[in-house]
Amino acid sequence: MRAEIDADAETFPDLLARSSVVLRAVLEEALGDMPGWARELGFADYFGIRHRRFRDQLEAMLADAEDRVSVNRRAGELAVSFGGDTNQAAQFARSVPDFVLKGRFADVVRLDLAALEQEMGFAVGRSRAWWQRLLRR
Amino acid sequence: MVNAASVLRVLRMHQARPVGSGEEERIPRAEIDVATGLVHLDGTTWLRADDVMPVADVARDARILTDYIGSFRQFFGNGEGAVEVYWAFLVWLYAAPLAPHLRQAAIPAGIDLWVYPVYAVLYGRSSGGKTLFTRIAARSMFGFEKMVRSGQFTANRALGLRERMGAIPLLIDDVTRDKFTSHVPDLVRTDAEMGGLYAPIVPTTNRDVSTIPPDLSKRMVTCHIDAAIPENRSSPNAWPGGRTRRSAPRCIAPTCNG
Repeated sequence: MRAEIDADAETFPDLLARSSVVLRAVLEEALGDMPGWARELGFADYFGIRHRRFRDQLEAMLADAEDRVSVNRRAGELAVSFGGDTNQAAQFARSVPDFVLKGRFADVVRLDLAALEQEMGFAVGRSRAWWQRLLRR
Repeated sequence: MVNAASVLRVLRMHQARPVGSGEEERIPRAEIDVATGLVHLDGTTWLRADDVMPVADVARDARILTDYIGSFRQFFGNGEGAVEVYWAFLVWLYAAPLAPHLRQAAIPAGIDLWVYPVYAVLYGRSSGGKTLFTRIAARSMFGFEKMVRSGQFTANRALGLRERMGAIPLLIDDVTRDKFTSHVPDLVRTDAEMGGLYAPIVPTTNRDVSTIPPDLSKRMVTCHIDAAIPENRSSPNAWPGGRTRRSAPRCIAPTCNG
């Protein structure tokens, strides 16, 4: 892999992908069968795992608090209101990935709609009950 | 002049000192020589790239490990998610000793260092198996683990230890929120180490740490465990799956198999 880096490969050599391939090979040779959870994964999968906590939190919020969430496609943002609780809003804002967080003012956290849809995999609809159609995965 | 402030300053300097050789319990060191395919443990050759492990031993360890990870499905909460996260952590941990070697090459090539993380944090519900899993995973690499308790943890101490331990993961157990906010950012955000061999660092947190800030999570492998088991179901003398401590896997990491 070091040689690949030194050779200026177009994409970076994926250490996690290589590790999972090697580990799977060891397990398969030793066990014969492979547990379903021992799947190949790479840096992109790790990206998803890294933000899972935020995704789960947002999903729970969207499912429970319809009136607290508003979508403004013109501004390209999704705003979550915490009903006057600035501490909760601040705590939630701290867990939002940099590329998703547009800002926080008092109890309202504003998220980047494009980042949510294109990077995080949220399928945000236009109707009032869009969260019922949330989540491609 | 000796006064309360100077005594306090000296005390804090002492507490935050780099690891001293005399007072620290034995610190093991492993070195991976990529060029020759050798792994040295405390100065002696421990493994060669062409060494062949007994098939039965590998199969036994593989079975223990897969049984153990699979047993997290029985936990309350998101057991499936915990299995997936622990697998991802294991995949990272086994490769992590080589990350510094790759980071060395990545810098001149203009590759972002974050793609080769040298830190991982496990956080989430109590009784989720975080501490035990990190210990077992670390032990499966070199046959033992090195763990620092939260009370002894400082950024400076961790940096000193990781230099000396080489490829052996440094575990930091049950890090409190205060310790996490005061020391982990120092450790992670400003890390520009150019050496080719130092220990991966793995803090596990207690329940007070509920979020990992984005400026840290983009530099660390972050593993959130949203599953737990009641205390009366976890025996201190048995691993999940009914295995005894004696049969914990010792050498299944890819580095152990060449």
